[in-house]
Amino acid sequence: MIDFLKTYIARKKIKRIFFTLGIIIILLYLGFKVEFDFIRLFKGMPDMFALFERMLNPNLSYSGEVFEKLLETIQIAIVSSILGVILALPFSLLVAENITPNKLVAKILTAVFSFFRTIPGLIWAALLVSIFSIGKFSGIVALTIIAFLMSLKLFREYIESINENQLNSTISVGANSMQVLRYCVLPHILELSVSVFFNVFETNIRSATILGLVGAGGIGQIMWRDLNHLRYDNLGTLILILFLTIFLIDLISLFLRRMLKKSRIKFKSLESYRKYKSSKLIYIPLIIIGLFVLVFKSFDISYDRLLLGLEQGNQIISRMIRMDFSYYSKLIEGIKESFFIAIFATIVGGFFAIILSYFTAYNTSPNRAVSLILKGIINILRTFPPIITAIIFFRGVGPGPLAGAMALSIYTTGVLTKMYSEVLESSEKNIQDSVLVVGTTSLQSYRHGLVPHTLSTFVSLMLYRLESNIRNSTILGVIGAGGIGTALSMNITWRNWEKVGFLLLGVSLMVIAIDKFSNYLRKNI
Amino acid sequence: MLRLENITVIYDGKVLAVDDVNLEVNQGEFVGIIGSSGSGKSSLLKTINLLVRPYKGKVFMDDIDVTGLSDAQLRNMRKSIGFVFQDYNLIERSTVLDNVLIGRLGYKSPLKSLLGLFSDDDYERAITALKQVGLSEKMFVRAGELSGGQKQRVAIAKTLCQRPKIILADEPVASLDIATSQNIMDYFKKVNEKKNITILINLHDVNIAKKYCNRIVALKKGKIIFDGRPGEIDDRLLENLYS
Repeated sequence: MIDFLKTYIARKKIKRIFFTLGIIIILLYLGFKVEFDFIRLFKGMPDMFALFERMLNPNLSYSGEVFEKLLETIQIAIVSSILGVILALPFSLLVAENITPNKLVAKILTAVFSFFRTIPGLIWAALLVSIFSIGKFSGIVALTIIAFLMSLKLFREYIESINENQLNSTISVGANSMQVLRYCVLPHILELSVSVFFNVFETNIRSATILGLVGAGGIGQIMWRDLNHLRYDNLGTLILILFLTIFLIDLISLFLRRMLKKSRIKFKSLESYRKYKSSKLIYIPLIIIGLFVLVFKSFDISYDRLLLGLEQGNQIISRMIRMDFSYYSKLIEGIKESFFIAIFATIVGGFFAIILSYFTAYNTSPNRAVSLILKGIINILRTFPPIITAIIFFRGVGPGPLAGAMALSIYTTGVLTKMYSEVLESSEKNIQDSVLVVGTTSLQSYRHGLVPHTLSTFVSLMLYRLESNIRNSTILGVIGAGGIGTALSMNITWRNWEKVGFLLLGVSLMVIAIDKFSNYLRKNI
Repeated sequence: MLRLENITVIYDGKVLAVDDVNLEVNQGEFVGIIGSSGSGKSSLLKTINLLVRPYKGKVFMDDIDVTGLSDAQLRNMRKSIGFVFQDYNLIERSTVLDNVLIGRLGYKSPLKSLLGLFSDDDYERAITALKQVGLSEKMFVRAGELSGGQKQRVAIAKTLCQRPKIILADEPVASLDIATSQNIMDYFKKVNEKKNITILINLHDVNIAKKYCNRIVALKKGKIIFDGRPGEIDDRLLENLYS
């Protein structure tokens, strides 16, 4: 018995040592791969701080031009979110497995859409700029695609979660399939569509700020210009304005969501109820027409240019399909670098998140003030799209994967800390108490109570971050911060469509492989 | 009015749920079907309005073969067959009134139902039905805010709105406490006695079945092992039924 215990203890010790060593070795290897270098980071500090300093002394005379572009950015985000969600509604009825009129069509569409989902918004924008020329139209179309794919997935998953008896209960009154959609499925997804819209919108406002990096409209366009002209003073102003805008929009979105959740009309009589119902017949079509007018007004493209673009698009696609496989070595090199950046950022982010979460969550933090301050900092960290943080690091450490890896690590730390501290806050108090009652400190109760209890959730959050990081790491190259994005954006500029097609296939396969792998792990923890 | 002939239900080509069942039910009967879970009660009930298609056998409603109907004819037939589920299956986000109006869908033209236009008559029927289950004051409340017993009463009102000749109820009180269960069963009894609507009800609680039904059918492994009056049930049968 004692021997058995001894081997158990010894094995546990060995396991822990191997685990720690393994992580350290992996991190060292990854650090080497992403060209991690303390000295370079340290030397870059003054330049990065200079950028921050300029942010604190914004060039206010610049704000007139910025304001116009800022409005354009917001417009792109709103229009594309509306269009995407509206388009996704009918498609979701087609692809949801339990209500689709044709299972085969549903399967094929789902496969095509999941392939499209692996291509990042910025790459869509770059492609569309080549087709429809520079301007916000390309940006709107790109983000509409992203919004469409995102909301379609959410709608589909929701419809598929409606149980069979729920559908049966409407079928059994003698309703036809159209009536089942109208009275059973629609009430569910209409309410959902409001929250889907805000989700999509919050993603799109971030994406819209960077579209300009490839010429697809919005504030990113002047940001790209300043970056190329080395006008870091203006860049500082821009980043500050972006931060304030995104922060404000998140607040407004949060406020609107809360308000919509609470608002509900109270009816006193049947007459007023029926009047309300029939007035819907008038105001809903009016709202939809109004939205479409708003959408079409924002398109800055002529009909002829659109036709020309469609023709060009056709050619580009046919050239993309004839992939240039001789580009193999460059593809592997780029994909490896993107992959290393993503893994590095996920592990580093995970490490810092588990420490920071202790100080951030209300129920574990030693001090409420510390928790509040950290919450503020974390919200700042995750407000920026990582590619903008990469610009700041780019200023410090120059081109290469290090800038991208650092930017993505910071972003991951921010998002993961926020999510995990929320998990901690919503975990049952008894878990923590059951360890505290034996006389431990709060840190011990965290380490031996809450962390082991919520570890599987933490790992699954980390895996979700990995999926997102893989996607993000493929676009960092657009500004020269490492990964496959460099090759991709250059070949789009040079119009080597055969190479672009091959690179996109590579990116897609990598993203799908990682998604499958992480899905498998998540189900087995 | 209802006749099942040699009904056999097989799922996925291998799981035998109902095994060659013959059953005849007359207008105005209150039939309880008892049996342990997995005995095929639910499948049997769902074959009657073809929510589940039988592998073999025929269903006759008023001497019309339901299994041979076209889609449109089947929808027409379903209007006269009410169905109440265990888990209520209301549209939780819609108001109680809208949920009850769903019972009128079988009577609406496609365009009118697409636009959500219901006539004065539809509303009157819906409100009468709600009054019958004692919930007219809740008509503008969202269905999701009701208690379990109230939800089941809304489901009954929805069914009444169909003007059914027969109501099929699949374990309607299995998720409710004893007092609420009796309250729901009282409504079924009232509907049965006052409107002469035939009722076929799946129950796993034998005591409730004995108290309310005037005929009891017992199923075991997809076969009928008892069909008679509640008084004829003895301990030996129950032991066999639940072993």
